[in-house]
Amino acid sequence: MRKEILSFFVPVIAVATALIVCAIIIVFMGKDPLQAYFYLLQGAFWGKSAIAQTLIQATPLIYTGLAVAFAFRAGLFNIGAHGQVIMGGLAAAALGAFVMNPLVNNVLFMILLVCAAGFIFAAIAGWLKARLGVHEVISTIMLNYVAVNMENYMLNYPLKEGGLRGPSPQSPPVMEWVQYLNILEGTNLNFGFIIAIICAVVAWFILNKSVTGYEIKAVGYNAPAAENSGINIQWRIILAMGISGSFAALAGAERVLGGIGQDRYLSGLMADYGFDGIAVALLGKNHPFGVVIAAILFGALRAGAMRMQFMANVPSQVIIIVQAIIIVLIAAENIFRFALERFFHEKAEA
Amino acid sequence: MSEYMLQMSAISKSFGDVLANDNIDLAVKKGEVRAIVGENGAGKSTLMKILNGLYPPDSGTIFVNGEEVSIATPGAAARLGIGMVYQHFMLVPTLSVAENMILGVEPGRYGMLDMNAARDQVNRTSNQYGLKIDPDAKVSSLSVGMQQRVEILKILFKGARILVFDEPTAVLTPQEVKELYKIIRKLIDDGKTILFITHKLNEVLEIADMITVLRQGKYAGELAVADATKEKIATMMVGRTVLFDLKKIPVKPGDAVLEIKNLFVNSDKGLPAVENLSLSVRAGEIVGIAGVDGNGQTELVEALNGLRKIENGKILIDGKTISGKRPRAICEAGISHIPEDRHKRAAVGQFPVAYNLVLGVHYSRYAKGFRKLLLDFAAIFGDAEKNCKKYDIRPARPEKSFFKLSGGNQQKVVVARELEKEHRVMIASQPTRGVDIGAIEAIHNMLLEEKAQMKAILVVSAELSEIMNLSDRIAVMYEGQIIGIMDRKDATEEKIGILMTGGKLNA
Repeated sequence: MRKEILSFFVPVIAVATALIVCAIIIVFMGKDPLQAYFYLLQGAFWGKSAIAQTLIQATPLIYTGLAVAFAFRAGLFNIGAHGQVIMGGLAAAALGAFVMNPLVNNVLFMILLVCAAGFIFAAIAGWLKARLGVHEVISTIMLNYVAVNMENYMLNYPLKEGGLRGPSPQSPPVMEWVQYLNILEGTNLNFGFIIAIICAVVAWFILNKSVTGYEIKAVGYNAPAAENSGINIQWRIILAMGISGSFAALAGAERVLGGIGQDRYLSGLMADYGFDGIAVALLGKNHPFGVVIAAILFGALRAGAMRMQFMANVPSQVIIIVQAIIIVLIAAENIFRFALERFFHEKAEA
Repeated sequence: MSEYMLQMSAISKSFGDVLANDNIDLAVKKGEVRAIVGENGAGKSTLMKILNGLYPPDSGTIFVNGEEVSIATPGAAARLGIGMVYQHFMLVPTLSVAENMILGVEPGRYGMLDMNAARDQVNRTSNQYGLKIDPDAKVSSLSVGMQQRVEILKILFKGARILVFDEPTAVLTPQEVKELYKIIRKLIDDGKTILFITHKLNEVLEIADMITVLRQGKYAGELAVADATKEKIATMMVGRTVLFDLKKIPVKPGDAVLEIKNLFVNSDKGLPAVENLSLSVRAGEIVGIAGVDGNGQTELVEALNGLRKIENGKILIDGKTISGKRPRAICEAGISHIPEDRHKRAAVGQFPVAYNLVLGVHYSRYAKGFRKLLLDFAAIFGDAEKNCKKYDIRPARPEKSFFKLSGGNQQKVVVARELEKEHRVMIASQPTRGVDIGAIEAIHNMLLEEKAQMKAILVVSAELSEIMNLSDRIAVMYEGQIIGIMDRKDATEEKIGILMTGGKLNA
């Protein structure tokens, strides 16, 4: 029981500490931190559009956080979520804008194809590791470059709106019947958020209820023992990497199909969601539901930052500092754990 | 001058909630060989690490030669004349003997190393104690026994008067053990004091003058070797009477079940590790493979389980080929396997005990639902509850993480899982390594029970007494080959010892 309390407390304290440190920084800027945080909160949660904005910001982070966390449970560090997001987005943009086929042109089938694109792209890294022993950190970083250049090429040539003479590197808008439904009127919050939550449940279910998840975790914790027990560790690595890539790819699909980028793939639309996913997974303790909470927190910071900048005149970049401090503190969690254990220990004795 | 060379009084040390040393007293006279015995986790190593300055004690005092001292670092221990020969040698394999010995006290000036002076110093020390060694030999080219000699010389060179040996015989052949005893006696003649940590009772009776027994971090008593018997010491160690008699039921062996024919297997480095090895094990028979670690036993066992590629040869169960199949297929063909390294191969430490009890049969016996994709947790935990009782796994809490169990109970979990699998052949590799006496007794009886049920059993062990106690036939492995195989009634420790080092039997 004490362990559960601890693993819940560490992220909470990390967030609190980060906010306090940033408050000090805001004071040094000559601004009022309480006022700044008030507008931060207001911008994140006050009213329908604020909440919608928080969730819109959170949605891609849920996907990429799940991707990193899922791979991590198999003992794999997926740095390549960025590339997988791009591949998912490109797949959605290409299929949604160019394919004229009633079988393909429906949301469900789009999702399946996007998942397949992410699965295959990430499974390359899994295959390289399983068969040739290439470390997944190296191969996923390299594959990120492949994806980034692929994006450049696709948006400037085959997918470019208006052909080669088109005005800017972007794909044409996707057809209406593959666009994600809007779930909150008057905002951009779309069905992609619901799919993200479903993905979290699916990830949890695979990891905790299925034979496959049991085997993936066994490989992640102790591959030689898993191999000894007859588990095919190569296939489990490839599968875990592929599933991870599918989650990431759905983030790309959500940005394109969910109306965030005017229903099209704009150059640079995928920002740094892949890398932010690492932070989200870290903060969520690699637990699917923890990832959802962490992603919403990061989403809230981003949504609130704009209002904070506008109303309190505190630059929105401050929240990047908050995020950075959170990551450092979580990564150095053992310091906390030690202090907390002593605290609980003394309490138990008293 | 004091009567005692070394006195440790009321030493306590705790790690978190665990009291590793609880008020332990130890007083050793000059020129004495003191054995410190106890099961795993009894606190032997902690006590010695405190003596060697690796841990500070929470409370208690240490006297060397009657003077109170505080030992904060291994360097301070060395200055007080305390030196430790570790179970895992602290040597740099790529350097020469002389280079290893002077490490930390290099002779020379202006940052230049004077290798000739170093060689002289090594020769002087080795002549003084009559421990011959070539100062220019590369450590990696030396036998394990000689490497240990380098370790001993190294601490003598640094002026040790109190020598601590941590399980020194674990890696040695019987002949090398005899050689070590000679060295120890010589050191005593030179006025050194020896602390000898072990859990092997035969050794204690052979080499020690006095015995200190620790149990669960506490001082459990002290006795002179003249008054000691194996049973007495074991009772003090475990806290209850231990029977050394195994429940041997006479079994008439049946047909050959496991057959290995002309097997060739390579090591990780791609060099031949097992060469042209043939062996068969019959139903209702235990075949023991003796040998010094690293003579191809690991590779053989991995090949039998499909974990390592077979270069040539065949493995059959009941006449059906299993060589070249995947581990899962081999398991389904009827091989159970207790791996040699509990932490590496046998179990997933972070998983609860219940998960570890089903590892390997989870996909068949404990799967349910559509295409058997889901795990049946009710069955997993239900059976775990039963098996914890049946195999006396303590604490009997299936949800507890595996790595939180004691070594003996961890091994019981592994053994229980392998016994519960459907199998015809049991391959037990170092089945009692790092396991306390009580659990050794239990595991040995489980293996004998297996034999009574007409399973074919292959025991691989570096522990000669284990091979001698269990086996019906004994094969000795040396450099990847079986260089001798004999019935238990013809085997003696001497004969096997000679074969283990590659010697030949005259007769």
